[in-house]
Amino acid sequence: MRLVLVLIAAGLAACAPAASPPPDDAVLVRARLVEPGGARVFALYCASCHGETGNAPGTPAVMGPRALDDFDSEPGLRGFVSRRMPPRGTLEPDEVSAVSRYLWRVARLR
Amino acid sequence: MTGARVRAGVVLSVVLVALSLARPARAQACCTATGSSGFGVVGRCHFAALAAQLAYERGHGSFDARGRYRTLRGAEVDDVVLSLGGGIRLGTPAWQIYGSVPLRLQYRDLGGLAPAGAVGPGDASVGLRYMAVEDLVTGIDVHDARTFVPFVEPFVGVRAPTGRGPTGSKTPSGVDATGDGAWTAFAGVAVTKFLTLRDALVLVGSWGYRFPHDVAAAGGGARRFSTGQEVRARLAFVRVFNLFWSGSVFASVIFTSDVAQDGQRVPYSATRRVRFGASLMRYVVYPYWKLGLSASLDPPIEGFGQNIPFASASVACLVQRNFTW
Repeated sequence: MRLVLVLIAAGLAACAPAASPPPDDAVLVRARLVEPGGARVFALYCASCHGETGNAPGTPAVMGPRALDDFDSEPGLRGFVSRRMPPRGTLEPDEVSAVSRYLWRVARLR
Repeated sequence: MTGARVRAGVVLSVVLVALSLARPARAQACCTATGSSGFGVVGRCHFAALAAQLAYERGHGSFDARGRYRTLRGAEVDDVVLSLGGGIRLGTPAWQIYGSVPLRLQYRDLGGLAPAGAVGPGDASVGLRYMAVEDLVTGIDVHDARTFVPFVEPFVGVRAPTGRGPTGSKTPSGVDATGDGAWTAFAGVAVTKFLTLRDALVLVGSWGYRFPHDVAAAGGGARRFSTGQEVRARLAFVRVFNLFWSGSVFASVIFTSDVAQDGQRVPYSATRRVRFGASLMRYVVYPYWKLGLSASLDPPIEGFGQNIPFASASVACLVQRNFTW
């Protein structure tokens, strides 16, 4: 009986969307100090879905190991953010630049 | 329920909690901490929030005018409070409007009086809040002055006498008194400082002015009744364990000044209430749905209260729906 319950619990946990690994604390701190404007934009407009550490379940990871490997440069990331993010509403061009620099910084520091 | 089923339930709960804690997710720190400074307040990274809280309070004693505590003997004081609240940002992340409305179910069995119950709205409040200064949420680094800057959020608001005040009560036990009975205008500031990436101190202080109101006098006519000024302070330590779980411990104090009748101050009528508590929050559907449990207590210790007819212990559960940009 107990084994069955443990298996059910493990199954439920497996079905729930899991978060990908977050970036290191030290990386986050350094990126926030170097790009405070981008960190602020991310916290205000992006963190509610992606999580403050960019690895929330149910959304694409934007921080952490291999998170931005699909982008080969910061301008490429900036173009994507400017076209697609956030899903509702828009960011000002300077906000797009700032948040892209911040995310790229986190990716490069890892 | 059999012993085996109870044990199985415990095992299941432990496994679920352990698996949840083991997920490699990191803190949702600033949304959690900035939203914890008041019921219905929108966290920094959210656009809006709706919350409902159900609380049960049980009276355990009272404090007299000199701060002496007496246990309630032969009396029963039970309240159930359903609070609905929420907030929304006003077009810009810096400004938000928020408010709450309580509905109170009260029961009094005060020995010598017939037991009685009453249902009614409590005092509704609405506030306007501005995020004036922002923390970098890096934790404190002694070598970098920027990391000492906290979130600073001044706020103003009003509390309306939607509940019946004590002077308007129509029952001997006052069971139908569900509010202050006066309009209150308040102003204050919430300061949130991240000591580390996941640990924050939240200090909220406010001052309120309770407007005088007329009360029918026993022999006809009316008396001008002023319930004085009010000062509130709340200090909380918030720990964000991971993306899903957070907890806090807090202490709060509320002072009200002496009451005045027809301009004459009534001595020894000021009140003081000190309360301690703890809460645990859990995102159940990230980032939208959050559940919370909390418990708080007026400590039955001399000096921790003054003119508090019913010091109480309470437990509450909360469900909150967050909305994103």
